[in-house]
Amino acid sequence: MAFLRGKLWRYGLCLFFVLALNFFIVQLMPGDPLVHLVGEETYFHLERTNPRALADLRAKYGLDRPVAQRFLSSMVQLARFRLGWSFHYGQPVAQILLYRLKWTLVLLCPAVFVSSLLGLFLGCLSGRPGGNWADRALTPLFLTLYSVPAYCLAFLLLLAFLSFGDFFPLGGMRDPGAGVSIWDVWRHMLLPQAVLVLHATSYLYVIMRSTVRQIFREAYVITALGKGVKPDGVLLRHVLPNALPPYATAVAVNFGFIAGGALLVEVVFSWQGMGSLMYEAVMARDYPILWGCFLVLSLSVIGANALADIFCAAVDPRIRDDRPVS
Amino acid sequence: MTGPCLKRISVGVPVLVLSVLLSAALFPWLLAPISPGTLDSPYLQPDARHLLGTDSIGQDLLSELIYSARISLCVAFLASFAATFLGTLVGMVSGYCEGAWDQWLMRVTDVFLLVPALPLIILLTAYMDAGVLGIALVIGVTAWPATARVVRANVRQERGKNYIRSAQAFGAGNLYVMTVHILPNISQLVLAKGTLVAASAMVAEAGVSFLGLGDPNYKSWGAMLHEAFTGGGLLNGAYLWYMSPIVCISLTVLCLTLLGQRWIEADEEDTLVVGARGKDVPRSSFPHKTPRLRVKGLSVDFLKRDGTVFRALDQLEMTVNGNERLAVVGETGSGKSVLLLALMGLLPRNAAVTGEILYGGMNLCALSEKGFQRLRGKHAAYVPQGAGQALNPMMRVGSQVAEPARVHLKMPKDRAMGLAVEMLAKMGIFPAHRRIGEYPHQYSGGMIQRALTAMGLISGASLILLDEPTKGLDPRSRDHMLRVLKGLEQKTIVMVTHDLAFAQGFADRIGVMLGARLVEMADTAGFFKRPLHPYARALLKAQPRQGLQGMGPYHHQFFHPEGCPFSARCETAFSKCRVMPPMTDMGGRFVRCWRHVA
Repeated sequence: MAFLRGKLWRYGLCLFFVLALNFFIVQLMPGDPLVHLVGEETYFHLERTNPRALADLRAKYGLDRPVAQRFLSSMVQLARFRLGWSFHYGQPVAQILLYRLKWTLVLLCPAVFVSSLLGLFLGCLSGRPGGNWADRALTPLFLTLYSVPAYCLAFLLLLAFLSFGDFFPLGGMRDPGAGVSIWDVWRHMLLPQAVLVLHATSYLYVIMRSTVRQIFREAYVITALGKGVKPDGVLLRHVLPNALPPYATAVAVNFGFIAGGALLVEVVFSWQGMGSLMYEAVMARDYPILWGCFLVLSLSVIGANALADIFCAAVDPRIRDDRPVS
Repeated sequence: MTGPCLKRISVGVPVLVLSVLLSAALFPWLLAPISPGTLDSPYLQPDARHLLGTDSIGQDLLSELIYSARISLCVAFLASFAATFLGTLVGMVSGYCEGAWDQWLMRVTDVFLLVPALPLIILLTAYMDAGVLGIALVIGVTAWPATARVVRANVRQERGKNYIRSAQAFGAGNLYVMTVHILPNISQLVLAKGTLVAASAMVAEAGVSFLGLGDPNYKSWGAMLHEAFTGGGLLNGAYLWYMSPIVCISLTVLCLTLLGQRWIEADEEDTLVVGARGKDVPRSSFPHKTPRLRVKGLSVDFLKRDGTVFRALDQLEMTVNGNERLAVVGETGSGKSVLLLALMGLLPRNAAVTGEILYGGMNLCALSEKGFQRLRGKHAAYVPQGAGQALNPMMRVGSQVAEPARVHLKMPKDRAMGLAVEMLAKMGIFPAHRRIGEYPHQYSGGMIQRALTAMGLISGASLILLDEPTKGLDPRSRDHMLRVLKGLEQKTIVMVTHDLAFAQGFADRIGVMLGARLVEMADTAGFFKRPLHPYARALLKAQPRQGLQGMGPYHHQFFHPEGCPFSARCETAFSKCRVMPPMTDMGGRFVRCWRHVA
């Protein structure tokens, strides 16, 4: 189908951009690129004590070869998911990332799922025409939430729940000493997830509301009302099916944004996911880790967008027949 | 959020808050009670000297907050400026130049839209060890694509308009047209987008600084949070160390968002939302026969956003007897479609309806939305124009045609679909049983029109309102439509059309509308034999059969805005036409012209 083919192009280009960025940013930075690969400490230590070892490292990372060849070989490395070596953790980057990604997904996926349903439902409620109570109550609320950055919201919730610390742990992922139990993890997850749901819902609610309002102006809605279909039926049968594809696309586009917010929320709650990893990497200036995090996040955003596109293609008969969607 | 008062507040309050913050950023030494170097004991609770307490090294938090405003606002506005400049440039070039340029610029924009912004900003700032300017630039570089897309869409819209075409025809260069003609027209949008980008830039800066990537020499609100987080503010009970920058960031973002949204919405058209506000009526009070439809003094005024009022229908009087067929003709914008929508209670909320519509002993103007829902589809069917998206693109045509039968006749699905097949076949759509499973995009324009008509007829309503039923039909299906409509029994039909020949073949009576008023009402035979109103005569002359004679030139000698709307083009106009003529009864025919007033 032409629609998905066009999208595939876009994802390919984006992936190429992300990968090329990794390579060229290291090359273009002032100073020796090796500093970014082995860390300042090791670099200056070796420079003073053992210049031979430094030269060996340079050869090992292929920095003595021409640019084009290095670019190609780095692409090959990436294709085999070899993301480099973290000098801070002393482990391969890919291994650390996979462990941390798991915990981020545990936090993020339910939050995105719940908030897209909430945004859908509440946005429908207050997008209905006429002055309705839902619109009057929810829009100011979510507009305010929308303005509070996710990690600020996390702090506010922390401050508010300081006194309930017994039930709501204020940080970490499990009680020290105890093994991993679902109940325990869930208890620790509750506060950060509440923050993410509130934050993401505020974005998705605004999008859904304006989508529904826009569709209520379409000619086919007037046709449906003219048939005598009740407003709830019009909303359910005529407005909602037309709102779903743009909403799914919006959820995917905002996925990167929500994930970005989740990173900082993890730092606040010391949740050992990608966000805390990025924070630690920033503190230690561990560039391979930072880079790996960015790559994984970009890949998940591309994945989310691809899912949304497949959803649109499955739902919209015009896309199935390669017709323009006006 | 409606009403002019609330609107003024929603602009005034953000502007006020932002100006206070801006003055704090510009003249911190005037507002800060204690200069930033002065140290006291750490973790002091709020008192008269330290209104917000002190931090871990004994700095006054209020002063710190005021001094930090400068960097936070600076980065937000610099980033927004960079992003808006870049986005507008890309959007304008892309929207103005079609073809390869547009395609490639949009591909790049799409890629940037896809890359998660905050991680990229963190990565770049970490690599570059960026200072304040660097952070602003990095945020700006990641934030432009959304602006570019919106600007492009608007430039494309603007480019097609006539004034651009004529400027180009007069030899204006592309650069000149873009900067002098297009830019001023999208400036409000650019301003609104820039404000929204400033809000998100502020969030991004705070996030980066919170991670400790900010410029250590210049503290921002985000950096204060970083210090509070790493300096153990929670453990030492210095809650205000957190709260104050959080409140400042959120308040600024809220104000910027409110302003940006207000400016974007000001550009939007009025919401076309249907809703009547009268009283409800019990189901039983609706008539079962085909009663007479009487319209008395019906006026419709549209209240525009800028406060002006547009009168779409003016003091309309007419009577349609039971089982009568009336065709209303007249030029576009004369209020024909508004009349049909008013009869169905389908006018948008900004329309004020006065007068009476009497149908079967009820005044439709006094109906509530619920009351209208009982009328629509069951007793009165509305067949809209097929142009545009009159059918739901996501729903099979068959289900849409069958919907009135399911809603009003409470038919089970299979029976309603069977009826839909029957109706579509009756309207000449073959093979109907296959066609019901198709979507509107698989139908031609004429087929959509016929499907809409089938939908209107399916529930057996006694009053049928048709809006240009022959638009987009070829001659054969037009004749078919005429036969179907003439074959209907026990129906009162009001049809709005431009097609005079169709009206002649179909209607018992003809009404002519001009400038929101009815100017002539006559039986069909008499009307086509001898139209009385000069406008009606001109309409008939403009028919192909009469040799397509155009109307005469405009002459404003006897024209007055409150007089006869045709007087500017009327060959027989005289001084009296500066006043609106009354509707005159000429023995069963009605005409609104001074030439026929005895």
